[in-house]
Amino acid sequence: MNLFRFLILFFLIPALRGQFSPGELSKYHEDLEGTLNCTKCHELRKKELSDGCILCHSPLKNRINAGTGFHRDKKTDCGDCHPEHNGRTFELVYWPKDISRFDHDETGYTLTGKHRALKCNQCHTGKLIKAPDIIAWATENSKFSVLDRTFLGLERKCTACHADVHRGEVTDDCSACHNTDDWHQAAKQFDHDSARFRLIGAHRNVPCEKCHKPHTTRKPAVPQLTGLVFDRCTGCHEDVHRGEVTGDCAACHDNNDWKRARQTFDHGKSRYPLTGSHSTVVCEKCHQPHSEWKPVVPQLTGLAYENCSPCHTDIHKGSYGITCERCHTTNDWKNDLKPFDHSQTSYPLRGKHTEVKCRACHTEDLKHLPSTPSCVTCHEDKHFGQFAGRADGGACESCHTVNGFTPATFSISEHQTVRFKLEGSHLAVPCVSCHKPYEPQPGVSATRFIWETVTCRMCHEDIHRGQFRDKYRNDCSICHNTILFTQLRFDHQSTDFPLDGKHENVRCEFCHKEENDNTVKFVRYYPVAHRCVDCHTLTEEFR
Amino acid sequence: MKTVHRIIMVFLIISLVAGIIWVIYSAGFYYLAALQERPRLAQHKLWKPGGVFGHGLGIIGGSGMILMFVYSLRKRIRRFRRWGRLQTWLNYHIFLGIAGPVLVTFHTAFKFGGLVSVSYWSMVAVALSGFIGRYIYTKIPRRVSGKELTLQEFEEQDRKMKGNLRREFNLSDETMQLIDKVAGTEKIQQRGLLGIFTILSLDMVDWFGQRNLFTQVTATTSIPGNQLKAFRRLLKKRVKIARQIAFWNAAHDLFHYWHVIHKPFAYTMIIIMIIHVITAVTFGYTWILQ
Repeated sequence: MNLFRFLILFFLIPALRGQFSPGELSKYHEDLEGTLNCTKCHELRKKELSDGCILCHSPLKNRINAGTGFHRDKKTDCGDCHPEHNGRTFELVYWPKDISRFDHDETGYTLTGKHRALKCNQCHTGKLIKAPDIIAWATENSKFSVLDRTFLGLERKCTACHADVHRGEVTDDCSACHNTDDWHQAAKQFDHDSARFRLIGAHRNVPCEKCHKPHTTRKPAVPQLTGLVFDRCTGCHEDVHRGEVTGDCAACHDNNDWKRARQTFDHGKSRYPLTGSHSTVVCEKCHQPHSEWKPVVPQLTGLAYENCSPCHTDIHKGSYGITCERCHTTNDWKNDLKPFDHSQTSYPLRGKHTEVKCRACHTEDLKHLPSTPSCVTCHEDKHFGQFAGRADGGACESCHTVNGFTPATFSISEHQTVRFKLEGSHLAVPCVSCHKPYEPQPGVSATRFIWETVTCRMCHEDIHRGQFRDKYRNDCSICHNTILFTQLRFDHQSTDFPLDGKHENVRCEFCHKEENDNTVKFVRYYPVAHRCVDCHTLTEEFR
Repeated sequence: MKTVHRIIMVFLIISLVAGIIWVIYSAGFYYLAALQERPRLAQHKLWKPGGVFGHGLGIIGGSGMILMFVYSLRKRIRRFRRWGRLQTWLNYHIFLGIAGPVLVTFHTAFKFGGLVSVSYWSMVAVALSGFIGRYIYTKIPRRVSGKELTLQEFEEQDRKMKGNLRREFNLSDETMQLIDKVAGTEKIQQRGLLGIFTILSLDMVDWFGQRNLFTQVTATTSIPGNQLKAFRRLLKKRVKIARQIAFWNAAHDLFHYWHVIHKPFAYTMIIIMIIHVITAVTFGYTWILQ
């Protein structure tokens, strides 16, 4: 039995010192070595370790409770992944796939863009850890450089690792502008609609730097993001109108094309609303550029718009004053004239003149009408000056009215006042029977109204074939009247052969025989052979 | 009954061998891995000492080690003496003494440390001493029942054996002396307790070089070829008896001392094993039993 006791003392007593442990603890838990320390980690009658682990590893517990981090959804016991009692040199954190191939998504923070290429310790380094619980825990467990080893405690916001080059100028939500693929591509990322100044139209194509100019005093030179004057355009744009108009640029300009002001500006709000054709006139036509300004911008104010003449040439040369609107509208200067009260003029329109279009008289080449218009101002003298020698100078109104060129007012009674008074059958003769066309000019036809001398021959044919030319100077009235051609008043006694005796009873044709001059037949009246033998046959009786 | 036990034993041995093969096949890679690498292996969860299989092996092996004590009860407690032949119990005891340590060794996953390692090494010591004990046990002549013979009975038996040998094969005195010399009885007697090593070395020579012994002795005789086999069997028996007689006193002393070693290791093993089991259960390691 001595040997038995010896063996017990030799093996059992030293072994009891602390060797209920299934193996040496890792160097991190070395202080927990010893039989009396078992229950610091282990719970009696419970194989799982987790409660014991997170009792000490309180920062991890905080994150699991908060549902964040790699361990947030781990259901397995801590010991399954972090087996203990495997010796001092055993590392409790094991990377089955190599730490560089760790799927960071499992932490709940997905690495994107350039973050994917970073080495773990570029972010997970002690100097970047700000979490108070981690720092406190690391202080308590200062034996190991916890802060340089832990993967906990990093803040997710970018400024946890990156310097805030904007110096608090904007919120710390860097992802609003930046992405992880290229830090400098903020422009592509930022939704300017979320800013107080929404980009519209051409503003969307403007490079950021155009408005967000760099802070000149800062290194690195980062663009100014706040404090920009955006409530008025002149914050960025030069007032090329030099205060000529109010500061509300949007009244004329839109964001799509700065130069398309004409399409935007509501001229109706101006003191000179555009109407009619004015609304289609290009702006520059009226708003001509300030010639001495650079850049050249149109003159917007100070235009004389009270009357038309500053823009329009007065083709009437002041004849009608400056109140163009009396006749003209803005719809069509030439063709859309206002109804004009011609009665107010020195030449009231009457008769057919009321139906005549203005342009018929007011022709362009006319330039302007005489103050005392005459018919020939507008009308052609169809009579080719035949009446010019008349006492009234050939005034048209003597024969014509504005109710029509025809019929003329020249009636028989008027005709009786002229040289050739109508009598007898002439009263019943139509005008055209006497007033026939003639050619005042070669190739031009007109009606003959005036003759130098008025003779019967002008109208009537000399059926006597000139028999009375010499004797009676062709004065038909010696024999004829205007009542009836055949109603002769010829006194044969006044002739060289007065009728007497039996000659009074001789029928005219007995002496005045019918002749034929190869064209027409006519009666021979003069000269007639008036010797007796010319008619009588010399009989024996008288011989 | 003997046949039944033999069948049971064969079944147990086959099961053990099959089990060992399965374990080696399944967990061999795990066991060969460095200790610090094992927790990283997929097999760790099953084959670690606290794993489903590893823990099971421990429970089965540990239970076997406890069952071994039934042999001690059978041997020591009068009431149990009617329970079968002691030799049969010894066979089961030996089987469990082999199977238990093997299974427990797998249970440890070849990681030996802490208090329980004392139990393990005690178990190893008990097992190894069991082999030695069994060897010494064979040096003490017994009846077929397993009961020990007295020295007088044994010497009488030896005399009969010598007479038979001399008579049947017509051996000369010189040959008989040569047999005694080859048996090494004189040397065994002279070395006392250390004679066990002499027997061991002579047995080893016999096991591996029996042909030489046989050739050496038969060279001095003119035994016909057809009797050589019978001569050889009788010669072996004679040499064994001669050595047992020469080692008789020393064997009894040695067996007494062996018990002094074997039993404390066994107690140490069982006590620490119980502590180990209590500790394991205390910390929730109840295997598949929740």
